[in-house]
Amino acid sequence: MATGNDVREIFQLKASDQVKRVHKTERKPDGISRELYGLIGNNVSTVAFNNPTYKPKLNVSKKAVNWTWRPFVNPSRDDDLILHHWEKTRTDPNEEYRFYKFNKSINLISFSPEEYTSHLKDPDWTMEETSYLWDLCRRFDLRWVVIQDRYEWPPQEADRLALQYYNGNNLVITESDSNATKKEGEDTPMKDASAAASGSGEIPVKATLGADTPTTTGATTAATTPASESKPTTATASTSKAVVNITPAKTRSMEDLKHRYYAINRILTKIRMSDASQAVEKAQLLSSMAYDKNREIERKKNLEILNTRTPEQIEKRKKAPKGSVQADDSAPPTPTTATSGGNALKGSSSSNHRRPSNASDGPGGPSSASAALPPPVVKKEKLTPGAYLRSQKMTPVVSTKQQRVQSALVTLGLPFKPAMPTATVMAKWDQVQSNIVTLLDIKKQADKLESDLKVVKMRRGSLGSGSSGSSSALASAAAGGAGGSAGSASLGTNVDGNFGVKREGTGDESGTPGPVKKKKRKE
Amino acid sequence: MTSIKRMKGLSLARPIIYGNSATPLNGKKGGDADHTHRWTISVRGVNNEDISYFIRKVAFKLHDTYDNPNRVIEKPPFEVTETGWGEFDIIIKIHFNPISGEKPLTLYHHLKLHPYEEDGLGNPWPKQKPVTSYSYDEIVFNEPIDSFYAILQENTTSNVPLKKTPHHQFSLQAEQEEVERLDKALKTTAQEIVRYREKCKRLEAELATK
Repeated sequence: MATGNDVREIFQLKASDQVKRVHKTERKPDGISRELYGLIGNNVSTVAFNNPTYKPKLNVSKKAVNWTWRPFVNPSRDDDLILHHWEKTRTDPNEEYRFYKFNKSINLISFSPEEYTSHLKDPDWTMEETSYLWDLCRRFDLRWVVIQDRYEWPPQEADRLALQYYNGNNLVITESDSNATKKEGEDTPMKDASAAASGSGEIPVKATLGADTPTTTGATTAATTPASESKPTTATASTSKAVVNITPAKTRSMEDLKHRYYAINRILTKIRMSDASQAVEKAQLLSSMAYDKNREIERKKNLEILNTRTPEQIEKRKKAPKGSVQADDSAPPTPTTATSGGNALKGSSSSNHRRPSNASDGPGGPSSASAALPPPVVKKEKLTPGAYLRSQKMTPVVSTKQQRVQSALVTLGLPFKPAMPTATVMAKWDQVQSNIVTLLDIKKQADKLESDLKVVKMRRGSLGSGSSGSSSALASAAAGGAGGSAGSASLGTNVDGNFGVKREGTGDESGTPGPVKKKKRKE
Repeated sequence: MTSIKRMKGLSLARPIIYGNSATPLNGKKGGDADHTHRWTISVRGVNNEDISYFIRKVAFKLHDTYDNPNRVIEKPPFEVTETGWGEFDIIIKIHFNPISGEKPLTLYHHLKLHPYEEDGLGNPWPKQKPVTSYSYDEIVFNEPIDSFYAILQENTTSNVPLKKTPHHQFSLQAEQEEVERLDKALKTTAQEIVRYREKCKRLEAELATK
């Protein structure tokens, strides 16, 4: 850019006095950062101002809605509670409460004790436990996951009140009973028991066990006998075990519970629909309650196996199509095909593989008629759908190797890509390419080995004059690359004369002898 | 788009021949330095068979110095004839029958106007003989949609001619020759691989003893 001085020079004018700079930057006032001042201060540069955009004005075309504070009733409730809430004025005040329709409950068939004793007895289940199960089903809407999680039979200390109900007894269970059933000599559980007892409004009793037992045995009769049998699972053994048969808390699986539930339902349906007119309905209901416990267990096990499949196993499945039994299959084949998810998967994969073989049979027919048409290729591997040009789909070569591959092709007398890319030609082309790549790799390896060998030979040859000990020491050093000092010492003493031999390769072969040798020489 | 069903595991191929032929222009029009040759670029089937059942249109993109460099040919023969002086790359975009649901395929062809020095018999290229450059290729349809597959089945392609003739550069014979060349190369490379493997083994053994 031409400055004023340059212009004056050109025109050969005399250099004028330096004109004082008119423009003097004002000092930036304190209290505001330099950048900020540069943007909004006195001396704003003419460029950088970006007009701040505000949010556009909110355009509300709709009119405001009116809301009113209204009372409402919830039909789901059984009391007459009236609550209030805001509702749009325009809605009908008599409209049903909008969430009422979600208050659905299931209709559980319930059994009477007589039915139970006559038909529903089961060696594994007591009536109490069955009633407990029923209650859970009702409370949790037959959601088995919740039921199974909440299931606790016989109920522990916390459920003592419930337990009273299930027992059907109206015994006032006092704290003294719980003390009696505890193991002797346990102090701490008693504290818990007393805390719980006070919570439930029972009479708290004082500390020592031994002293109380005689007094308490009078109070309840049944308490003492089962006392000795009290189970130790929780320190606070509940008393009502005194009334119920003492069994350790059973862990029931979901299949167990469902099995019992459906079995009872089936039996009840059979009993209650015993007349012929309801035969169809009965059959339908019965089929809806078909539950095979073992099959369910199998099915779930299989699903779990499927779920925990590692990616390798999935790949294995993909590659080796149906029919072939996979070696890692630990799941025994499921008994029937009806409900098992695993079989659903097997079924679909087998049907997939049947289709291509059908497809190949199809075109096989007309193609033989036309003779000229190359039969469509049936590929069992994944085919990406789409159209492509055959010559464009050559397996790509690594760009670093490309040049050598090309020179190899020239040596073989082949063009860089086939002249007539038909299917067979392209297949062979791919083979040739991979062969070339393999060949180049092996050649490289051979060359490397050869050069290594040469190096070793050279070393050995040059040290042949020295003692066998030194040469072997050197050889071991060369081979192992270890013990630099030992090597150098032997070198120094025995092989002085040979330092003149240039050993370029030795340095990199085994690092230590090289530089060590050089050091020696300098000394 | 669940109504479109692809034939899983199937792939079909159709051969095409594309390229150009060029003749030098003499006479009144030929005097012009800008139009030394008349050339025709084309896409056709082998034996000039019909390919319009799966090709809907072909778009040739010529050099920008031509008017309307995008020439779209919608009915057979799919070719463009022009005059000019220079060789350039032509982009050929093949649009398939819409039933196929396939995207257009792009090919490239370098327009050849000038002959090689010799015509293969040791003689210099005769001045008036047309210069040709054609390529054979096959369009592979992987997992075609079933309605398209039906169309392809109806129109079977006639086979590539048997022998090489001056008119038919691509024939079964040519393919066979190529296969033979490749086989020979395969054998050679395989032998070399074996040889070098042996060498490697030998060298490794030797190195181990040292």
